[in-house]
Amino acid sequence: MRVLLVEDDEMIGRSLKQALEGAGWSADWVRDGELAHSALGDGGYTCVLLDLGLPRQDGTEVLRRARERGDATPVLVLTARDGLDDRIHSLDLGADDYLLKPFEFRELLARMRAVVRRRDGAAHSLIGTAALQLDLTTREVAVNGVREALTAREFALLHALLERPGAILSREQLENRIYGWGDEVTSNAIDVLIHGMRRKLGADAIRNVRGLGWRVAA
Amino acid sequence: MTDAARRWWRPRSLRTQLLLWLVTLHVVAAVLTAWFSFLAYGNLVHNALDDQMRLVAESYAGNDPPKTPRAMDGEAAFSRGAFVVQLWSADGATLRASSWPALSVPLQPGSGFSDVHAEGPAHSRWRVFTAEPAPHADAPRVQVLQNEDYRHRRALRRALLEGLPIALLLPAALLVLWLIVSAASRSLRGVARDVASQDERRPTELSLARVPDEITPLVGAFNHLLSRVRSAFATQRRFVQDAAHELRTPMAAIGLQIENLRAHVPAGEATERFNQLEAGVTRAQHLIEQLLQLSRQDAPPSDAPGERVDIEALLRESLGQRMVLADARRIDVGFEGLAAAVVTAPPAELRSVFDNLIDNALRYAPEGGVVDVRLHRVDGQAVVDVLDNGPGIPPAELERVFDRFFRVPGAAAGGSGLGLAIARTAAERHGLRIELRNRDDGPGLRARVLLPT
Repeated sequence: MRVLLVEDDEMIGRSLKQALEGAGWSADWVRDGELAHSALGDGGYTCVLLDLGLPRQDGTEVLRRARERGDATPVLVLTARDGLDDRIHSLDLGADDYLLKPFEFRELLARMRAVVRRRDGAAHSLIGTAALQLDLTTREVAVNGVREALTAREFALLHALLERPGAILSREQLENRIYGWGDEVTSNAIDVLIHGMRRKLGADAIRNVRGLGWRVAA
Repeated sequence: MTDAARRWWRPRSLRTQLLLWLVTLHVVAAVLTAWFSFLAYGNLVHNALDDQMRLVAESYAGNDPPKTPRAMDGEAAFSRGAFVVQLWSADGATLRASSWPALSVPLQPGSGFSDVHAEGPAHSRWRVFTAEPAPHADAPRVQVLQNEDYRHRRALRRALLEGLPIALLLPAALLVLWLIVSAASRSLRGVARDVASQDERRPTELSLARVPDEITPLVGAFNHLLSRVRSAFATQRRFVQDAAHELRTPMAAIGLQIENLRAHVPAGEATERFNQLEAGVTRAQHLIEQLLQLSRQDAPPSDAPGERVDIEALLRESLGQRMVLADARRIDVGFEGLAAAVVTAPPAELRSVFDNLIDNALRYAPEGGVVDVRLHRVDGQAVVDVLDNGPGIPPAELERVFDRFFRVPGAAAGGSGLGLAIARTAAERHGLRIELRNRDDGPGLRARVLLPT
């Protein structure tokens, strides 16, 4: 998986390239907008990490020109500007996500996976976190590398929770995802299902937030 | 100068000042006009009537035999100024005939004009003309008299008539002045209203449309000041944005370098020190974010518009984003939405109120502790309670915790000391109130946000 890193700050660029390579990505690093533009023209990137304040050509301009050309490579904007306008503007121009510096590297990786998955649709069959991975084709879960089979409802539950790791899903949201229109849903159906999953995956795998719902730790 | 010390002729009100001077001027003008016309006309009347008296006297003196003066009464003498004609014997001893015998003024010794004072029923001052004795000895002496008060009254009436137009003009002038001053002060009050309704962090220029020319320099100077304030605000906002960028970039790099280092740290003491370093960096990042938030609050607000924000959804989102911190400290987080509440404000500002309170609860609750967020009604008012089971705050410090950089002595968590200051400023700006108190039902703090009704 190749990522194009567009970052003019030496310190961030070098550290980020190192960290990405440590996480198994192969990273090309360019320092200005013109170079970013021509690198994108060559194609072949799974994902682009784009800083906005760039010499020679602003990041938003790079993004605008890429989208005009019909380039659909997922773009994640990394910036230290936190004006609401900047965020809306770059999303309007076709950025897939937006992350404010400083960020947690783990969060960056999760967002990269998310934008790539969104762009690829079903082509990527593995979703989840480092500890908990769901294989969408075989419908199996891997807990710290150990594979477990899942029932249809268990799979639907994990699929919902692992689509956006860390997000809280309410009882109602989970019921809608797991049960069909005609299904008779008892009031504690979700609790029973989650109780069973915890036995299978470990007590901490699915966490409850009282009054809000359930989540898996990102 | 205090109000009491002001002299009565220099009142504070422009209107009173103008009225005072205008009335004085009109009165002086009317009096002077009357006085001068009294003098001038009095002289004129005097000379004209004297001439008439002489003519009448001469016409009587020239007649031989003398004609008898026509009889008249006192009323004619006093109020119409009729001439009283007296015919005396040539030696002046006997009054042979008089048009009004009741007037007893003797024949004056000399001839010509004189003024005399009469007693009796004709008690008054009289102007007297005594004709020269005729050349032949037995011709009667003629004396003509006219009431002096009549002359005086006539001059006075004329003088008053001259002063009357000016006196009549006074109320009209006062009315016009009143209207002009009222209009001017109305437009001044309009300007004052414009000034009062300014948003101090986003001043706009005052309109010059209704301002009288005399006040225009003042309003213009004020507008100039406003534009300087505006540009100072813009500079400040730009500085805050630049500072944000300049601070965040190296912090992001340090964070990444720490991440890169993690894999190369040998187990044991080095890992422990590495963890301390990481905690320090996290704390510095947090502090920088808080400082930026604070300086954004001091800078004029962005043009983020107020929206109708559903507080329950906002709290769910805020809690959802703080679960990483909750996980790290194994905090049991709970939420109860028992009431519906909608507040009109920029969502980001409301978030900074609740984010900071929930952050604090998650930081100060003990490891493995409990934090509850409850949206409910108390005495009919919608409130949000953020409850933790941490150490609470010593009662003496409950107010001081809102001060910038104040941290409760001995507090463990690596807070910046800015969270509550930020929360309170944002809350007050949008009509929310934050109350802190220690819980009655066990250890811990209750942060209550009273939502505007």
